[in-house]
Amino acid sequence: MRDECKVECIIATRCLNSVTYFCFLIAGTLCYCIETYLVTIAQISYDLKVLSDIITFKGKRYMSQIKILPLSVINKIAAGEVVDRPAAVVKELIENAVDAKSSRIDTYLEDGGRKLIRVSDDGVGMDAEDLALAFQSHATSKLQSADDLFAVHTLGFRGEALPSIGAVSHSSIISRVKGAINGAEIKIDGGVLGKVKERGAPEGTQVEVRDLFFNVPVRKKFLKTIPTEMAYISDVLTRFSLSYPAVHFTLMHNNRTVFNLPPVQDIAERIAAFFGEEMRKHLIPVFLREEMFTLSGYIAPPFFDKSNARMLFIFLNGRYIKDSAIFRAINEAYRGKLMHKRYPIVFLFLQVQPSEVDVNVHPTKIEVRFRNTNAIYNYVFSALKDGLNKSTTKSVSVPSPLQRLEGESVKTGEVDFIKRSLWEQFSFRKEAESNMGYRLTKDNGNARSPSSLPLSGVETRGAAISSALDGSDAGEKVFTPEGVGKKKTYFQIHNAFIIEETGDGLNIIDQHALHEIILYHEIERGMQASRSPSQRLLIPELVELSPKDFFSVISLKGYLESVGIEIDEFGQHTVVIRAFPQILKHLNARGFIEDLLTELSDEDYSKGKDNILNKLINIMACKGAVKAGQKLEAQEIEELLEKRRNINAYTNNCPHGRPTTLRFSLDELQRQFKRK
Amino acid sequence: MNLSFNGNELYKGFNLVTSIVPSSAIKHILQGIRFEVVETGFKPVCTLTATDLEVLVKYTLSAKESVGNGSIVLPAVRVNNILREWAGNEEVLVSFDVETGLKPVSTCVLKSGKGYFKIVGEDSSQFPMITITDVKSFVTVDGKIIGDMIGKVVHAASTVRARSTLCGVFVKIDKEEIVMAAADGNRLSMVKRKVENPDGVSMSGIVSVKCLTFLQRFSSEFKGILRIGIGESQVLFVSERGEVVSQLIDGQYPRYEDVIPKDNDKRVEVKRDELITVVRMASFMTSEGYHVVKFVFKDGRLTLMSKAAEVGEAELEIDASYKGPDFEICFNPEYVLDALKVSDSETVVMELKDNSSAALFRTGHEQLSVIMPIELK
Repeated sequence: MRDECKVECIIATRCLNSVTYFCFLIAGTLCYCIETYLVTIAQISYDLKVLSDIITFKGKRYMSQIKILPLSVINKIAAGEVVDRPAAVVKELIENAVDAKSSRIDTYLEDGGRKLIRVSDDGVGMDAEDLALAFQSHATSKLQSADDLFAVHTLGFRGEALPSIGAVSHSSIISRVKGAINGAEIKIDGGVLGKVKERGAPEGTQVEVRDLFFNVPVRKKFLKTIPTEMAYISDVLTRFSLSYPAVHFTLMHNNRTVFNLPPVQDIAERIAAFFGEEMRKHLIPVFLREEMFTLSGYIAPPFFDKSNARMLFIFLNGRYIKDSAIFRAINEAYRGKLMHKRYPIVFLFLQVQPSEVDVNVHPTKIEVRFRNTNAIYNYVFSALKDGLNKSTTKSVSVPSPLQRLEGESVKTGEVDFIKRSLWEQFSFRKEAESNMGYRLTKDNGNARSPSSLPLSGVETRGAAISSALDGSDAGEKVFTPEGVGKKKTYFQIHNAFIIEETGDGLNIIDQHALHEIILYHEIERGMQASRSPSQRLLIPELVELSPKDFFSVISLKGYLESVGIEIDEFGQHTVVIRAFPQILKHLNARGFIEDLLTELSDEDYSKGKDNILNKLINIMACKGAVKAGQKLEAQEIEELLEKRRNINAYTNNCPHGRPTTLRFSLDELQRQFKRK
Repeated sequence: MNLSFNGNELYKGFNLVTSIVPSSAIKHILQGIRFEVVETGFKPVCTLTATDLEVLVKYTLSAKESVGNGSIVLPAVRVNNILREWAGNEEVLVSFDVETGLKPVSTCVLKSGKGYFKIVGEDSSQFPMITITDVKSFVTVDGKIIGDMIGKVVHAASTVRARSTLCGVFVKIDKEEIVMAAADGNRLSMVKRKVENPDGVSMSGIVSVKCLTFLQRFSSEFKGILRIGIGESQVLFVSERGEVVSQLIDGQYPRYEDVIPKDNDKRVEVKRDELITVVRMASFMTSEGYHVVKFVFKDGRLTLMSKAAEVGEAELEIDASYKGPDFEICFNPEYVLDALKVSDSETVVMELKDNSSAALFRTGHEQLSVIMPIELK
C-alpha cells in the first residue's frame, strides 16, 4: 500500500515506553506509519529525552520506508546528547578555548545562561574560512584521521559541540587569528547558518550563545532555577580552573563578578580559592610516576570528609572524568579512615599516554575507558595510600629536602632507624608545635618542579620509613588540640563512654571504638614493620572445628602467622594454637579463632590477600578492644587517651566507620546555655 | 544481748571479714556481716561471717563480757567505718535485740566513749551459709608457709574469665607435700612445701584466687597452724581463729608437670637482684604493643636488649655463669619480673633450650617458673 497522506502529529512524551501521542490525520489515517517513524528516531538516538521535544512535521510518508532524517533534526538530536543545560554549553565552549591555547578565558552569563552565554578567550583564533566550517557537523581542527582518535591530545575532537549548540540557540562567533588584520563573524539561528562577515575583533575568539533552547520549549522547561543552573556552571568552571592553573579564568553573571582567578603556579592556590585556606593547609601532596602514567595532586586528610562523592576531582590529561575504577581505588585507600557513608576529598591529576585511554565513549567525554584498568587502580591506590601514611607524620618525616634524602637513602640497620627517628622527633617537634602553617608551605616548596606540572608533587617513596616513624606525636595536634602536657579531667559513664575535658570543650568517647581503632593501627603497623611479637603458649590450645571451618583455618594459616597466630593441624578436625599475638594476650585464643570463623564470610576468602589480612586485623582489633559495659579504671582511661595522642593516626572513627569521639566546644555549650 | 570488746580487736576482725564482702551483690543481705554470739561454757564466742557465695569466711573472737545468745546481720561497710574510728578505744559495747513479729526488725546499738550508734540490721536467718559437705580429711601446715606459697604463685593465675580453670590456683596434696601451681596461657609458677599428713591422704582442687588472697591475709594477721581439707567441690581451711570455705573451680586442671621442661640443656646462673634490676630497666624501653626484652647470652655475660621504634632502645649487661655458644631468646619482661619478685633466694637459675621452647626459671627452694618465649614474626 502506498498511500500518500499528510500527517500532522504532536508527540508529547518523555520516553518510548509511555508514548502518548495524538494524531490528527488529515486525508487518510496511518497511525502505523507514525509509529514506525518514531521507532526510527529512537534507534538513532539513545537519548530519549529528545523525544520529549514537540516535533511538528508535515510531509509525505510512505509505509515501511526508512528515511534519512533532515539535518536540522539530526543536530537537535545531537544537541540533546551534548547540550542538556547551559553548563554543558559553557563546558564545550571553554574546552574549545582551552584547546585554542588561551591564557585567559572570560565567561559572561545572563540569567543563569538562559539568556546569554559568552565565552571569550585570547587563543589562536579562527580565520574566515575556518569560521564558515565551525558550525558544520563533524567539522574539527583537532583530528585529522581515524588514527588520531586513539591518541587524542585535545579536550574536544568530535566536531559536534558548535553545531549542536547552534541548532538550539541564536549563536555567533567572532574571531581573529593572532597577528591577522581583520577578524570575522558568523551567526547561526536555530541551525540556520548565516554568512561569514568581516569585522574588527580582538585577538582570540568570542562565542555568544543567546536564548538557549528557544526552539526546544520542552528542554527549556526542564531547566532549573537560575541558582541551580549557576551552581552547575560554577562546577564546570571549578573543574577547569583546577585543571588549568596557568589560565586566567573569570566568571561574571548579570554584570557581577562571581570569581576572578589569575594564573597561579600551584594548584593548591586554586584549591584554597575554592575550598578555603584551612583545607589547603592540610592538603597532602601525592605523586607517582610510572611508564605511561603520571599521577600528581593533593588529597585532603580524612577529617575533611564529605557526605557525597562530589569532591572527588579526577582529571585525566586535563579533562574532568568519573571513573569507577579510580573511585574504588580512592575508597580503598581511605578505608578504615572515614566514617560510614562519608567520602574523601581528592584532587588527582592523571597524565596517561593518550594511546592508553579511550575518551571517545560518550559525547560529554566524562567517562573514559582505560586500556589497563587494573594498573590504573593499583597506581592510584598505592599513591594515595602512601600519601595518607605519610601525612600522619608529616611534620616529622618530611621536614626538609635534605633530611628527606637522608631518610630515603638510609635503609640500613634497625638501630639507625630508631636513633634517627628519635632525633627527628626531638628536633622537629618544636617546629611542628610552633608553626604548623609554615611547615606546610615549606612542604610545598620542597616539591620538585612545581611549575612544570600542573601542581607540585612530593615523592612518596619510602613508605617503610614513614611507617616506622609513625610513632611520634607531633602531627597529631590537628585532631587533638589537647596535645600538650596539662593534667586533664576524664571519667567513664555507663561503663561505655568516656567524658574528657579538653582545652576548648569536651569530648565524649566511645571506649570500644577508640580502643579498636588504636589496636587496628598498632597491629597494622606491627605487620608493616614485620615485628608482631608472638607469645608462645604454655599449653597449646586445641580447637575442634567443623570440617568446613577446619579447612578455612588451614587455608588461613599463612595469614594468621603473619599476624602472630601460629596454628597447626592436629588430627582430623582439630587445630592446635601454639603462639598468639602479644597484643591480644588477654584474649582466649580458642574463642578468638571461633569468633574469627564466624566473622569471616565465604566471600572474604575469595577476595585476595590484602582483603583477608585487613579483615583479620579488623577482627583482631575488634575482639581485642575493651567492650562497652566494661568498667575502666582511671589509669586505664588515661592509658587509652595517652595512646590516642601517641598513635599518630586517624582516630576519629573506628575501622567499621563509626565515630569514636563526639566533640563539644565550650563555645557551643555556652550558646546552648544561653550564656552567649 | 550485750557484749563488750576491745576496740582494736573488734575492728581487726571486722575489717578482715569485710574484705570478702562483695562490693555489689545481687542479694542485698550479702553486703552484711553475720554477727553471732554463742555462750559456750565460761567464755562467750562471737563469730563474724561473710560470704560472696563462692567463699565463706568465719572469724571467731572472744568478747570480754557477754549476756545472752543471738545473731544479727550488720551492714558491713557502715559498721566497719564506725569501728575504724573506735579502733583506739579500750572498750566497744555491742548490744542487739531481735523483735520477732510479722515483720522482724533487728537493731543493733554500738556504744563507746560518749557516743552511740543505733543501726538497722537484718534478720540473720536470711543469711546464706555454705554447708561443708564433702571435706573428710585434713592435713596440717603452718599458716605462714601457706601464705608464703600463695604469694609465690598467685601472680601467674589467669585473669581471663573464659579460661576458668586457669583462673584459679591448683592445690595438690600428696604424701608429705603440698604443691601450688598457677598458670595463664603463657607462664606457670609452682611451689612445693612439706605438710603433716598423718592419714597419708591425696587430694587436689582448683582454688579461686579470691579465696587464696584472703587466706594469705588471714594467715599473715593471725598466725598459727592451718588445717587444710579438699573435697570434691569444696576446700576448707581451718585455723583456731576461724575458717575459710570455698567452692572449688570446676574442671580439669592441665597437667602442669608436663609443661615443666625436663631436657633444657643450657644452664645459666645469675644474681637475682642484678637480674631484676636489668629486666626492670630494659622494660622501660618497651611499648604496649611491643613488650619484648631480648636476652643475649655470651660467654660469662647476659645482655638484655629492648627497643621499640617509637620509644627508644636499651642495652644492659650483667655477669652470668654461662658457657656455650651464643644464644638469644625473647621474653615478656613482666613475666620474668613476676617470677623474680617472688623469689627469696640470692641466685636464680635459668634453664633454656632454644628460642622457641619453654624456659625454666628456678627461683628458690622447690620453687620454679616456666615462661614461654616470644617469637618475632
